[in-house]
Amino acid sequence: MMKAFITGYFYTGDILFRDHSIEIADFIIRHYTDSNSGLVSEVTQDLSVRDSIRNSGALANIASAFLDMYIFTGNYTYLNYGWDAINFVKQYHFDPDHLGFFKLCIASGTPVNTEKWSEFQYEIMMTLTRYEFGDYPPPTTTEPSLGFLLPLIIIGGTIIVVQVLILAILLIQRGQKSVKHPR
Amino acid sequence: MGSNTRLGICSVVSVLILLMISPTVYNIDTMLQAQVITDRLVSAYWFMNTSCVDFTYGGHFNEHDRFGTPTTRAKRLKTESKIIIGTLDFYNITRDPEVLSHAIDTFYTIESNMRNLNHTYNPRMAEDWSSAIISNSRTIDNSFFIRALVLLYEHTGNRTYYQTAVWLMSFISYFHRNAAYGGYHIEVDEFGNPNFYYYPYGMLPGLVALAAGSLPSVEPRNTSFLDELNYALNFAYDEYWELPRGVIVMATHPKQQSIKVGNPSGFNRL
Repeated sequence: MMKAFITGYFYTGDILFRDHSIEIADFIIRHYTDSNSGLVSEVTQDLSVRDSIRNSGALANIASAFLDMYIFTGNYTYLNYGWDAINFVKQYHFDPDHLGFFKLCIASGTPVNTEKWSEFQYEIMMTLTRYEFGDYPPPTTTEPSLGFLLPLIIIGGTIIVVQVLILAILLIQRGQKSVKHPR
Repeated sequence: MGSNTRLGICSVVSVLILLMISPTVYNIDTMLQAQVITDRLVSAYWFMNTSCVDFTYGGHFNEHDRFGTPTTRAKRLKTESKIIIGTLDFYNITRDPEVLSHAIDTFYTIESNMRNLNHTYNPRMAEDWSSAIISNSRTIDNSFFIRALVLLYEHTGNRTYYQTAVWLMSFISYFHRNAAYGGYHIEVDEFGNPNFYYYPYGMLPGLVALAAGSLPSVEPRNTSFLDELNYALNFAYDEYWELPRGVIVMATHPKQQSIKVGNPSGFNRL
């Protein structure tokens, strides 16, 4: 629904639609998170979180809608929630041993069962493509990944190794000189 | 040359070398990350286009176990439509003609097996396409199919897809709209008569709005789709939003309560 309203704002310019999409987005952020701060797929009628289950199709859909929200409002909060949602799917719903993504995971990332739905593969593909191949900034609140630190670690490590090698060579040369020309 | 000078030269050379190789290191890291993403996308694509494919009768299954063995075997318009959209997303990245032809083949599977006498599409068919499990036209399935058709038109330039999308959108406007109480019927039969058994979902106007919103991207001058978009969203805002409860997915909203016959499990939310 959030995506529909922000799409409506895009085509009609009606401020009511934009404001309502913001209202829905804030509602989702307020009520659809569990103690792990992750977005959950369903809440009960009294707005309590049910089972902390993460539905890959729903998370991908929410992430895609949050990306639209970020594009049209410029609010980074939506983008960060979207990244969190799609990263969870990418990491935990993915089946590394067989093709495709699982339908349901619990908060710890363990699949609820082995069920996979074709149509959810589409939701995930669409959102992954938009996030990973679109020109959108990475999340601003999450910790930098090891991948980001890898070049720094390699460069720093190489500098230290090279300097130690040079020092070792120089020390050996000095030692040889002192052997050849004893005082 | 003194040892200190030699040490200095070596340090400068090593720093220069590091500066030269650092972009390469960074590129390798970026490539590794991109590889992970591509692996995920390829995995999802191949799941859709190998495990899900019914090699005997054509089309795709929807529900599977871990190994890709189908657990339900009926064919659904919504699933086929989503597979077209997902496949075209993958085509956007790969530009592989085989990927595009898979999307087109899926369209022809729908066209030759799911089209009914009213020139709309049966939402659910038997595994071998011999009979319709549900023969009524469904708003949800039609909405996804419209989006798939618009994307097919954008990628191929074949106007047939667009014309079919316009026809389906018009069908929704004329027959799926609930003339008496507003909003949309979940399904109507081949003569355009609504099936009142089901409660209207809150997501119906949202999906119709998204389908209607996909059409102006092709023909911006045609404002009739924007009227449908406006209608759907205004109805959703008026009837399916209620603080503090939020968006209501399945509602017994007062305007339609008197005409419904179903047995809802209560209120749900997405």
